[in-house]
Amino acid sequence: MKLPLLSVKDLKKYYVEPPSSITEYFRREKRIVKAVDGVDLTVDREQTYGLVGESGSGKSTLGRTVIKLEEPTSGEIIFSGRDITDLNEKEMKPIRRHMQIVFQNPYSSLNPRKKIRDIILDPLRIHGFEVDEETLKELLIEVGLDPEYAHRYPHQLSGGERQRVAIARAMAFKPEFVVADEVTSSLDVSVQAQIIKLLKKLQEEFRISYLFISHDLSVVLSISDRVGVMYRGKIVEEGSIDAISESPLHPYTNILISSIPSPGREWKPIIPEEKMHEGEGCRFYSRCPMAREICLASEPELIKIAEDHVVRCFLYE
Amino acid sequence: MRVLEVEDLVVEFLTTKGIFRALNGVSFHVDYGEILGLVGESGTGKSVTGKSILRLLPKNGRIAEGRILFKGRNLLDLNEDEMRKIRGREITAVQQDPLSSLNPAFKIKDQITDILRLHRGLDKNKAEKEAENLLKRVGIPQARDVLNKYPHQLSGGMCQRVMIGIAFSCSPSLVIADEPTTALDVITQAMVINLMKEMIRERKTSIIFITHDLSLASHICDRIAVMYRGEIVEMGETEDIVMSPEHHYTKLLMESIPRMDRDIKTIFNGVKT
Ligand SMILES: Nc1ncnc2c1ncn2[C@@H]1O[C@H](COP(=O)(O)OP(=O)(O)OP(=O)(O)O)[C@@H](O)[C@H]1O
Ligand SMILES: Nc1ncnc2c1ncn2[C@@H]1O[C@H](COP(=O)(O)OP(=O)(O)OP(=O)(O)O)[C@@H](O)[C@H]1O
Ligand SMILES: [Mg+2]
Ligand SMILES: [Mg+2]
Repeated sequence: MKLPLLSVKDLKKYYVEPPSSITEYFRREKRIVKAVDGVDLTVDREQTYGLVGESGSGKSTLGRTVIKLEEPTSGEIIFSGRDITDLNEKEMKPIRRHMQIVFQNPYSSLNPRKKIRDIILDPLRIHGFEVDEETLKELLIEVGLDPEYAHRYPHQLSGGERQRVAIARAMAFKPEFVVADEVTSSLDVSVQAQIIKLLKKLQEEFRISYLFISHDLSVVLSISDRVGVMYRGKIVEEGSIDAISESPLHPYTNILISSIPSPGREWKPIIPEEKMHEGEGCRFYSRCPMAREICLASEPELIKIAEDHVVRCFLYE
Repeated sequence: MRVLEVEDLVVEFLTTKGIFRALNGVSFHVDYGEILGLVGESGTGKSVTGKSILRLLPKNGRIAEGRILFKGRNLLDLNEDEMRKIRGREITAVQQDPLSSLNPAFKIKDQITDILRLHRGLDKNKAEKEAENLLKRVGIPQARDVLNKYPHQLSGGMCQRVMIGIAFSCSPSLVIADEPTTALDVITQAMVINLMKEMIRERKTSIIFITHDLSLASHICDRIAVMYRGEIVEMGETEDIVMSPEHHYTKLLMESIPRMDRDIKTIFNGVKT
């Protein structure tokens, strides 16, 4: 059996909230945001793992943590057969160039005082690579940008153009693993399709694996081999692309699917209640159309439905 | 009644290659209480149009020709002081990159309450209550926690919703919303759009809704203007644009949607009802 490129076990990332009032401060109460709350996940070589979920569900935090831009609270991260969970920044450095990230905010992640040229080349130089002008030009053309843009500053580009710069910067390393966080969400359908094609092409050429993060299920389905659906810090359903697209099981996955707007069909998304369920039981309880009493007793485990399909829901016990 | 009229707008940028014309004679209007969709592919001039109205073009850009009438007054004749009174109060904006328009050094609470105190004259307590309220309306139930955070501690979609909350907080006449829901999942997006529609109903706010997503635009806009390479190539009632697109680029846009749609349909077969 081939070893996966990345394998993550019971990964948690908690943030401590600042006190919101004086009383809280004096009581020394600490509130904790469980952004990632026990995630297992494997990304196979040259494969794409698509991660979907609503805003605030912990997708970006998970993406940053698996490549150790953030220290995990607990859990285990194995990259290319090596346990990197406790490596410090210095030990991480030689591994870094193999794992890149394209950040969700293309503008704020590009240094406004640097020209596009230096934004792409500087990180390479830091790692001791020299790149000639010809290669830079090819790279820009590859992501669909006019090579003349090398001399521009980020604020002189449109949103979609900046996004492509961010992709070029990550790809310049020819990395093994790329976390692509909402890379297509600011792009129109035609460019979206172009970028997805590009990502696939680069995947084949350089044998890249992706963790492809998006809130848009239709985009995720068009690029991924496996899909994980995240809800409030946990994976609630995971499966092969066929399993998820042909028989989605979790009520949340179904709500996501039925809320996609498309022309000529009435758009009637289900809007959740204000209050979210806290404490014991299933974290989707308050929003679930199928909720029953048993759902409050404990948090459901991941249940195996088929060889390549798991779901965290009591409906399938 | 028209809140905004843009006439023959020409915008140019100075680049290393010489002068680049980003807008080449753009004209449109926005009625009171209307959502006008500005759609088109990446790099076509949508954001530049929005920034021109706010007079926030980058330094190497200039409005070479045209008029921008807001409630009958040409914004291009105003001095910076007069413009500042309109910006942020009468015309507000949701920028395409929300994180960059929030100040990283201040808590969300301070950024919202400052605006509420300045523009609506609320006292500190009232402003905090109202800020919490606003965040709840854009679908952030744990509003109190979020108010105490700094921008970098929010998720991408939360930042976007905070910006939307701020843009609508002072009952502006016109909101320029540049890709305001790109970071949002379909359900959160729906909440935000409900808020926008409420504001329109309650306060006759008008919105210029900039998006690359023609499908979304077709669900929420009254009229749609399709841009292509610095020009408006087609404009009209949403239904007409969607049902019988004239311009070849609009047709192309429409055709590219079903491609995604087909994927969705295959999913739909599996949805249990
Ligand atoms: N540095 C931080 N400090 C405190 N809380 C944080 C920090 N980063 C993220 N969070 C919190 O963790 C939760 C998950 O955030 P995350 O950015 O991972 O969500 P997301 O799924 O990427 O959402 P979106 O689709 O909106 O980008 C949010 O409640 C957020 O406020
Ligand atoms: N300061 C600038 N200097 C030079 N060119 C610029 C500048 N700002 C924008 N442009 C160019 O003007 C064109 C229109 O940009 P604009 O930001 O309006 O696009 P957009 O339609 O909003 O695209 P997107 O959907 O990608 O955000 C682009 O080709 C862009 O490169
Ligand atoms: Mg995110
Ligand atoms: Mg734009």
